[in-house]
Amino acid sequence: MKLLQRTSRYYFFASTIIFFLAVGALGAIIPRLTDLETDELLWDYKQVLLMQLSEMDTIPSEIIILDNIIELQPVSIDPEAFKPQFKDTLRLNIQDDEFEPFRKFTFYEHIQGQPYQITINHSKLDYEELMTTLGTAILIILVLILAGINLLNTFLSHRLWKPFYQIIRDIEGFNFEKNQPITPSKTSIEEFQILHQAINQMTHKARGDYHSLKQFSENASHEIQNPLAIIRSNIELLIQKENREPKEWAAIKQIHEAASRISKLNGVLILLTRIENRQFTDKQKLNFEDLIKEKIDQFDPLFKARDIQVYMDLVKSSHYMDPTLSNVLLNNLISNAIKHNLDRGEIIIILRQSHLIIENTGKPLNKDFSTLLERFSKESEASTSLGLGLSIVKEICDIYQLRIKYQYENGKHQISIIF
Amino acid sequence: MKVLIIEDEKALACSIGEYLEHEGFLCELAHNLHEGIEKTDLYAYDCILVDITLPGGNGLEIIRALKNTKSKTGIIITSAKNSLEDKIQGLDLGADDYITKPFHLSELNARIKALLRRKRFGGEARIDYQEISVDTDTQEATVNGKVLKLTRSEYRLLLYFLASRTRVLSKESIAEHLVGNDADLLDNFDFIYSHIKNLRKKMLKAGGGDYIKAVYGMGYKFANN
Repeated sequence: MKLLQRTSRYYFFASTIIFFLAVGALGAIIPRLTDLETDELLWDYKQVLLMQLSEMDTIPSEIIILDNIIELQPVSIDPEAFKPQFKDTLRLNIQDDEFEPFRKFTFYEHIQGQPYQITINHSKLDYEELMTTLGTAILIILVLILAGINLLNTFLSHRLWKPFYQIIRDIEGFNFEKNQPITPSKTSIEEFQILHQAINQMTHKARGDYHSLKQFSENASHEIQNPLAIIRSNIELLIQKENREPKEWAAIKQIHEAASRISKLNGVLILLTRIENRQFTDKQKLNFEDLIKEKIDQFDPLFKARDIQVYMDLVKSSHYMDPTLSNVLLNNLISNAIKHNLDRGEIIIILRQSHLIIENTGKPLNKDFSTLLERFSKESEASTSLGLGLSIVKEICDIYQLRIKYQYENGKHQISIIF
Repeated sequence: MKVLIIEDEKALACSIGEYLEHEGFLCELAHNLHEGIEKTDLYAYDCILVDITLPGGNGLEIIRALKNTKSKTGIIITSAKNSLEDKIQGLDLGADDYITKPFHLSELNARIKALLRRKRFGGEARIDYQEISVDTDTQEATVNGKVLKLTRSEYRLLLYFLASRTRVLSKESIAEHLVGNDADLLDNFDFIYSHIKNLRKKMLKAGGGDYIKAVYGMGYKFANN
């Protein structure tokens, strides 16, 4: 939920409550005010009426003047003993056959020497109408104000929050590799200026750290490669002298193997870092049909040695990729299919425009395939492999948004890459 | 045959020199860009090994300078950066080969010999050893004049052995020579055994000597005794 939606929601609730309270208060106060007003009017009217009645020849039992109905009833009690009384009442309107609200004023008075009970009934229909009109008006105002708040908020989100969204877009598009600064702030709003400044400083620092880290990894790997090259070349010189004790041979062999391992590991880690840092940015249209044929040709000595049969069903399938990465991708997938194969096994490679399937005979996995995509995850702990082959495949697939699927069926591992 | 090794890592340059001198090359060393340019200006070499990252500048400059003088020297780039860009740029400038560090000295040796053969400095496309003879133009190997029917791997294996005869070749270097160093072979070099076995069988059957010997689980050696 947007901040503005949240604030408008609070505005909406608060204003609705306030309006209903206000309507409730008005509904309570206005009738009382009108009653007071009416009562005062009727009190004044009483004097005029008494004067007029005293001059009349005969006293009728009912007089109707405008919306006042006056009832006169002779009584035999002393008018002085009763106080005048105001009351609300309903009277049947014969024309409409409906009850209508009236204010009833009852008092006792001597008219021409005879005590009378006089009741003035004043219609309140006008006030009822007033109340309905007032209520409707208030409701319309409420709706108008709420609509106004909403419109204002939309306007504000477009106008006032514009620099904020610009900053968000800049952060989203931030790339360590591109040395593109955050768009200069044009806002005069202090909060956004502070935000902009803070983000500018942060990205500047992050970029600096990133570059020094990258520089460090590159330098470190270069520095490691050189001593390794010295160790390995000296081992090669050492093994030329053959009259050695078997113990010495065993030691040399171990040193040689360990140096090879470090060398491979270093090479793979450099590759992974460079892939992660998106340093392979060359995009060439590569025909995977040719690349696969070349790879199969390159690995031929490996197939021959283990009597592995390779079946290919390829069509022309071109994709944009960095040539180094496509080479690594195919290398790792096919190496994998050889490593986890059986002697006299099979490899089946199917290439279509939309996908590549590499199938190989082999024992079922004892681990979940997705864990094998993690770094340093091996099928068995005894394996001397680094456990980085498939994680590199995954990194490359992530870059080009390719999907990897795995299944094991009829004694065959099947890895599919969906372009 | 004169080889110039331009390499800032002195210990590495010395091992390369030692290995190559044993192969009958006359080696000279240069440890930075300036020395490298000076030596290539003054003397003629059959082959130059150039490191790309050198104190004083990029090794590619030496290649550029050499190509300007229309020199016919063979050039092999040695680089710690396995960068396709450097490789393409170097080969475009006129380098003949590119080898990534860390490399096997035996592989480097085989590359130099193949390069010199291509450049015909040796005058010969033929390699002879006792009763064995290999014609690198027709890619044909004979034993006592009888043609050996070799697979491509066996042919390459034979050539690799002949380039470094009497030297011990590690299993790893043989494996990488056959399938390239980008294959993920770490756990297993056993596959070379079946190729070596077949090559040996074919040579024996044709009446050749038994030259390929295993050396203490380290590797193999092609020698006559």
